[in-house]
Formats: sequence, C-alpha cells, structure tokens
Amino acid sequence: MTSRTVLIADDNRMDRMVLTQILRKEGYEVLAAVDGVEALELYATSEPEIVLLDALMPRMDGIEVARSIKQQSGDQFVPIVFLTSLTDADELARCLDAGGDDFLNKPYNQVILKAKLSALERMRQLNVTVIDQRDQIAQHNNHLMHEQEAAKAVFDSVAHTGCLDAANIRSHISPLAVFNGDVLLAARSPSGNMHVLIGDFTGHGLTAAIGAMPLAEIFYGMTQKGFQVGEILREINHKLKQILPPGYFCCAAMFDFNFHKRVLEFWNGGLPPPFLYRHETGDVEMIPSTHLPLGVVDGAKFSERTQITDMSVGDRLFLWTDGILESRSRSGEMFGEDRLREVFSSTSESNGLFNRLIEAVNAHVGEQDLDDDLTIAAITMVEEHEVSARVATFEASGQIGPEDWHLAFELGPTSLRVFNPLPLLQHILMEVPQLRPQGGKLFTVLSELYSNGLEHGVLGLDSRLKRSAEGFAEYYEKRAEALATTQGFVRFEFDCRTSATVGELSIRVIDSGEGFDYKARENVSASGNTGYHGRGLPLLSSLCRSIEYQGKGNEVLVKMDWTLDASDSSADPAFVH
Amino acid sequence: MTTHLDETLICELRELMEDDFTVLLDAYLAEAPIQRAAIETAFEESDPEALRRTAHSLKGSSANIGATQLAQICHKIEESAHGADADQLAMLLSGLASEFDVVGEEIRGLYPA
Repeated sequence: MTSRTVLIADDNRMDRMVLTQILRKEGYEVLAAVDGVEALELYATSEPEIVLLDALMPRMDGIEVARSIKQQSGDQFVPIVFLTSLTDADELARCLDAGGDDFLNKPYNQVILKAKLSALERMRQLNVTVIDQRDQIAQHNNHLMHEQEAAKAVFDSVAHTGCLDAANIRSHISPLAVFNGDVLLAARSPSGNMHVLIGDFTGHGLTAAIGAMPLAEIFYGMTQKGFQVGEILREINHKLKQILPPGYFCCAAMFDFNFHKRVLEFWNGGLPPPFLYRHETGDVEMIPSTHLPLGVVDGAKFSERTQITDMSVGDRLFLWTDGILESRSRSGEMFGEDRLREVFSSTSESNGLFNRLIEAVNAHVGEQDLDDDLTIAAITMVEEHEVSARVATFEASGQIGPEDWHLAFELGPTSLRVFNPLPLLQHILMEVPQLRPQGGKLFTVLSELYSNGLEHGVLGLDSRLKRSAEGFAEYYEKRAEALATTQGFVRFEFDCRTSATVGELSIRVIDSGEGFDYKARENVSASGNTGYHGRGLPLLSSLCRSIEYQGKGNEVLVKMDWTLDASDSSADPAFVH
Repeated sequence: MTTHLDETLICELRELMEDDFTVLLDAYLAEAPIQRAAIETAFEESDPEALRRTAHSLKGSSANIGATQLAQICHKIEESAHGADADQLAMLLSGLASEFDVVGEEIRGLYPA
C-alpha cells in the first residue's frame, strides 16, 4: 500500500516539526511548506490526500491557499484542516468559507489530531466512493441510453416496413430518440385490405422495445399471409404473455379496413377510444375498449372477438395512445377527452381535423414540447383504387413446386366456427412458382369464394341486409348466431396443371346451403351488378377467366389460366383472363 | 522542576519527538527570541496589525512547547493590539519580558545533563 500523503503549511518551524512527527508516527508521508506559495507548489506536484494549513502565513495566507486547493480539486474531496489558535468568530467563518473542513488548536494533541485525521479519512473515502458510484451510474446511464437508441433503431427498421406512408394514412409519431413504448403499424393483406395496429407498451425503453419486436414481426408476417385480425391478435397475445415479465403488457387496438366492402373490423384492448368520424354528418362514434390488453391473460381466456361497422368513403378513423389525453399544460392540466371532443365538434371539415388536433395539443402544452410523447394516426376510408395495390408478395423460396395436383379440403361445422382456412390454402397455392406473382389476386378470389360459400350458402344470409347501416349490424349479428349452430360444410377442390409455359388452375367451392337461382340472376348481371350484391361476382369475373355456378347454385367453379412469355419464363407470368 | 511549563505536555513531546526532542527545544530557543523582538518592534513602531500577527505567532510556538502562561500573555497582546492604549500594551509587554526569560531558563533546563 502506498503511504498516504499529508501536506503541512506552517511558517513556524517548531509547529512543522511537531506535526511532522505526529503524522509520521501515524504512517503518513509528510510534505512541509513554510508559507502559502510553497504550499501550492507542493500541492500541485504531489497531490496530497489531506492538507493542514496555518491560517496566518507570510506571502500567501492559509485562506487563499484553501480556496485555490478546493478549486483545483473539483469533485475530489481534499480535506483541509486549519491549524489555528484563532478565537475570532469572523476569522473562523472566513476559514470555513474558504473550504476549511476542520480546525486544530495549539498545542497540538496527538490523540485529537489522530481522531480528526481518521474522521477526515472516512469522509474522504466516502467521497471517493460517492464519486466512483456517480461516475459508474453516469456510465451505466450512458450505456443504457445507447442500448435504447440501438433498440429504437432496430425497432424502427422492423416497424417501418409497412405502409404508414399510404395516401389515406396521416400519422404523427413522437420523435423521441428512446423508444417510448408506442407502436403504430400498418400493412396490406393479400386481399388488399389494410391492417392497422396501434399499441402502447407499459414502460419505456428496452422492456417495451423487446415486446414491440415480436409484435411487429407477427403483425407483418401474419397480415402478409392472409390471417385475420382475431388470429393475429391471438398470436401476438400469446407471444407477449410468453416473453413479457409480469406487470408488463401492451394496450392495443387493431383494425382491418376493407376498401372493397367498405367495412371496418375492430378490436380494442385497453386503449383510449379511437374516434370514428362520419364524413357526411360530422358525428363521432367512439370505439371503446372491450378487451384486456395484449399480454395479460393466457390463451384460453383471451378474447379476439372483433366487431364490425360500415364506413363510407371519406369517413376517418382517429387513433391515439393515452399520450394525447395526458399531454400536460404548463400548469399541469391534462388535455383530456373534453378538449379532444371540442376539436372534433368545432372543426367542420374533415381534412383539416388532423392538423387541428396536433395544433390544439401543442397550444395546450405550450412551448415546452420537449416531452412530446404523442402517437396519433388518422386512416380514411377511400375508394379501392385510391390505395395503391402495394400488396406484399410471397418471397419465392425456390422455383420448384407442384405442377400437376389435385386437392380437396372440406371444413365441417366446428372448423367453420373456429378456423380460417384462407392462409393455409393460400400457402399451398404459393408453392406453385407460377402463381406467386399473383398471390394478391388469388387470395381475393379465395376469400370471396369462401365468404360467399359460408355466409350466403351455409348460413343462408341475405346480402341485401348490408345495404343500410342498421341492416349491416344485423347482418353480422345473424352471421354470428347462424355460425354458432350450423351443421353445414364448405368444400374446396383445387385442380392445377402447369407446364413450362402454360398453366391452369380451377377452384370448385361446394357448400351445404340451399343454393340460389343463378340462371334468373345471370340476366340481371348483364345490365348491372346490383343483383349480385355481396356475392362479389364482378370482382371475381375481373380476376378469373370463367365463373360458373352449378348444381342448385351451391357449387361454383372458377378457372384461371396463364401463359408465360417463353423468353422470360419465370419472371412475370401474365394471367390471361 | 518546572513551574512555567506544562509537565504533561513536555512528557508527551519528549515521547513523540524521541531523539529530536532537543532539536525541537533548539528550534524554540532560536525562533522565540526573534518572534519576541518582532513584537517589541511592532509596539515601538505603533503597528497594531504587526503587533497582533507577531503576538499570534509567539503564542502558537509557546503553546506548543507547553509555555501556557506565556501563550496567555501573547493571546492578550494579540487581542488588545487594535483596541488598547499604549500604557496597557506596555504593561502586557513587560509581563511578556519577564515570563519569556523564565520560560527560556526552564527550557534550557530540559536538555539532558
């Protein structure tokens, strides 16, 4: 152990001798200065741990020396003891002001000096520990911030692969460098629908970011494969429940915008109600939370039950996390739901609403927008052609696949109630390399055929109900009722033949329903498409070479075929309708 | 037998300084007369601040060697330097002179025979 060094400054030789001797016996290395100037010189070169100063010295007095040493030592605690027999209170106060930590009176007493030195040594050690720990904390904090920034960067690259930049979406996401726990995701499904998920993880930073990664992966992966809102939510819930520590969860709401049918499917678990703004009337409908947040309950208790409402072109859905409601003014008052409603009732024109909303929150918060923690989005129901068909295509995993095959797949009553066959069937079709570029079209065809077979065939629902808003709700109520008790089935039969340059796929869908008088309706079809409302036939016929109803109307056969350009056989097979 | 030096302190110093005890006595005997002369000069020149400082200085060394009464006289001079009149100071200084001589005598008596 290196010996501890003490600096003594005293102009009296006897005092120096006595002190030096006492300190040496205590095991210190002693440096002795005869005046203040020499004391500072020795301090600079030897960095003593403790300094003993005579208050009155020639050239530079102890008070000045103390001031200079305290200034030089900064964070480091260098105890200074004034050697004095001063009795003047003002003089003592000056010594303390200059940074004196203790006094030692003459005559010097070994016992007292020893006690003072060890007390000061304890203080010094404590200070060293505190400074060390402070530096460590600062370093850890620094490290943590870097990690969080990295996590945010990784998350951003995962989250922003979606379609938040679509023409019908406006969004404002907090620009914080550290992940604030909010997620906003949007992606197109193979059928052309748009899935949107807004979530708010408990906590900030890493824990929230850890949950956000799989959430985004599952959202994008399953949306792209054609899974529906409920199925995706169930999977996310399962994953979050599995990985998040107790007490951590994600308040979230998820939506499916069907631009073709102009239907909004929604699920809200714990988020402040999104507002559905009706373009025609200016009315606002709230979508309350009816579920527990994601990651709270185990699979069996989790409810992925979604609700459905119609949306007209121009209607807008406004989403937010609680950041907007909890934005505080300078006086600490929260923005709150009343102010939110006020913005909607005072703004007549729907296009300006989004900006008005941001302005209102900013005005409320004032200039102190440092803690901007807002996530707001608005999604407009638009004509199908207005949202670019940027539908994810399946990654080709190799160019070899089944070329001549037949598949029959029949769903019985229980399967109809609980299972969505479309992702599975789509997956099989995507094994055929020539079909991959047409994944979106195929998925649309499959989902139209399936919903026709199930809803109009098996369940016998009348699509005309959906023409009015009330009927719309009734339709979905009846659908749920009928589905609960049905004993029917839907059967798919695929037949696929491909060669190097041509191919044909036929899909037959048979349902257990009553069928319908398709011959009578074919005449109506020639004059307009209203007769087929809900059967999606115009859409199907635009995608397929032929559509043919058979039997009593409970069987439909669609055919698609294609020819590949011989010079460029794999890249871009063109469907011939 | 000493009467103007603190016996206990002297014992402690002897023990602390060991072989250097006489060096310490040397130092006192060399420095104290200089300090005392400085006090006289400050008084003659009517420089109260110099008087205060020099008295303070002799007080410190005297206290350390155990010359308690001498230190007390120095303390009085230090405190009166700025306020007291010349007569009072002259009295204190004459007290200092006689005590100083006695202390010097007793210190010289501390050297080993």
